[in-house]
Amino acid sequence: MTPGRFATIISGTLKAWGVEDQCVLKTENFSCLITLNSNVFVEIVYEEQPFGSIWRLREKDQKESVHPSVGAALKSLALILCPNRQVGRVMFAN
Amino acid sequence: MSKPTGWSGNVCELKMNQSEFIPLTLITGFLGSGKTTIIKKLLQCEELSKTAVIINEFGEIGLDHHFIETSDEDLVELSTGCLCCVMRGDLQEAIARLLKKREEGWSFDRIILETTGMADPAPIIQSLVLDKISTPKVMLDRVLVTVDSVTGLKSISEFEECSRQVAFADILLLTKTDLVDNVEGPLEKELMRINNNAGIFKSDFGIIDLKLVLGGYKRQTITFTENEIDKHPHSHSHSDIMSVSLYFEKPIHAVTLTLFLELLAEVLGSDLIRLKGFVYIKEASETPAVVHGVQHIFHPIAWHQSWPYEKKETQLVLIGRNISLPWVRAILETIEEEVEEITRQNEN
Repeated sequence: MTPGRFATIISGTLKAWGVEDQCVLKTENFSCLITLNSNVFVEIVYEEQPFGSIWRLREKDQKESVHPSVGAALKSLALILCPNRQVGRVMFAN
Repeated sequence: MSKPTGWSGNVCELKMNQSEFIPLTLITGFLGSGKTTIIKKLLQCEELSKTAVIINEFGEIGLDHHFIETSDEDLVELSTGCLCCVMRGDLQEAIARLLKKREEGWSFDRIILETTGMADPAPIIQSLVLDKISTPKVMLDRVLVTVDSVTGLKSISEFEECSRQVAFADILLLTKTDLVDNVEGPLEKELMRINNNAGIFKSDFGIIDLKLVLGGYKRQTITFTENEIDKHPHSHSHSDIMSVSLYFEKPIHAVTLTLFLELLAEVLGSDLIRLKGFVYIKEASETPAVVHGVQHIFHPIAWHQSWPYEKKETQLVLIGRNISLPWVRAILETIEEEVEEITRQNEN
């Protein structure tokens, strides 16, 4: 992971969810603060620990959640920023 | 505008018994609706062994031609643009090239033209019917439109291109019918609402009745006229749909591919319209994995016979909305790193 890639993941995700224009994004190294519509605040921190990488998510005044993968972190972030957005589920069909 | 030989004001009334004409079958249909699969099956039939194929692809990486097993000589690829918008001149040139080869002794008695999934058939049909270069010898025979039984109804309601394709069909081919319980339900009603002149048929894993291509099926009359073709707009934007082409040199773990597809579906939802390409899998590097997805539904991962291009690398095309290529790459790199990390820990 690099700081640039970390920032790309966050900004690209906000774009994919269509909330890019409603968010203020402050990114520094491996952490960023997302402010949605001036009333939702989420801090995301990426850390590399001896046991592997982790993603910390903390919504203002809420308990921090820790995720072991980018997929889990983005799923959790979606519940905060766009809880009503429909998600896709991969289905393999013959 | 002068009428070409055989023109009778109705495309399907052009007479097929004039042996000097080479019939051209236009196969269109929305993204991922199974056009290439049907062409691939058709080309395996003896009756269509003398068929030239023109493929128009939307996206930087042209892939569909790799999925069609025919000789390079029999196939012309028109990529990096959409025929209905910017490439009609290229189509005319491609046909002219084919005709020249035919004069030089290469024998083919039919042309199949596959459009992009986003193509508006109207200007293509216009080009084929009215173009002075090709019409003396090439004749638009019929328009086959594939419709995905699973996602077709949604695509028609959301994408004007899709409903316009249906509107221009001589024959509507329902694909992936094995995935739905009630094909004759709302989708067929909607198709009939848009175009009640087209015959509606089902394809069985890409296999269709040859009569639908060669003629002899119970024909229904198509109703649009020269004037109706002309009044369709010749330029349009493909709304906010775009394609991104991902090249990734490093091989990835098989599990990375699954996690990657899951995350794309999770984040992009219905904005991911189509994903296809070849993937360089670490555990099986001799042949590439073939990935085909339409929205959230994917074909089981299959293995291509060999690498279709010289360099071993992942090449994926994603078509949809709000997709950023750096983001797709960053996601793939990160998941692969996570899997690599877990693999390393397990080995230790």
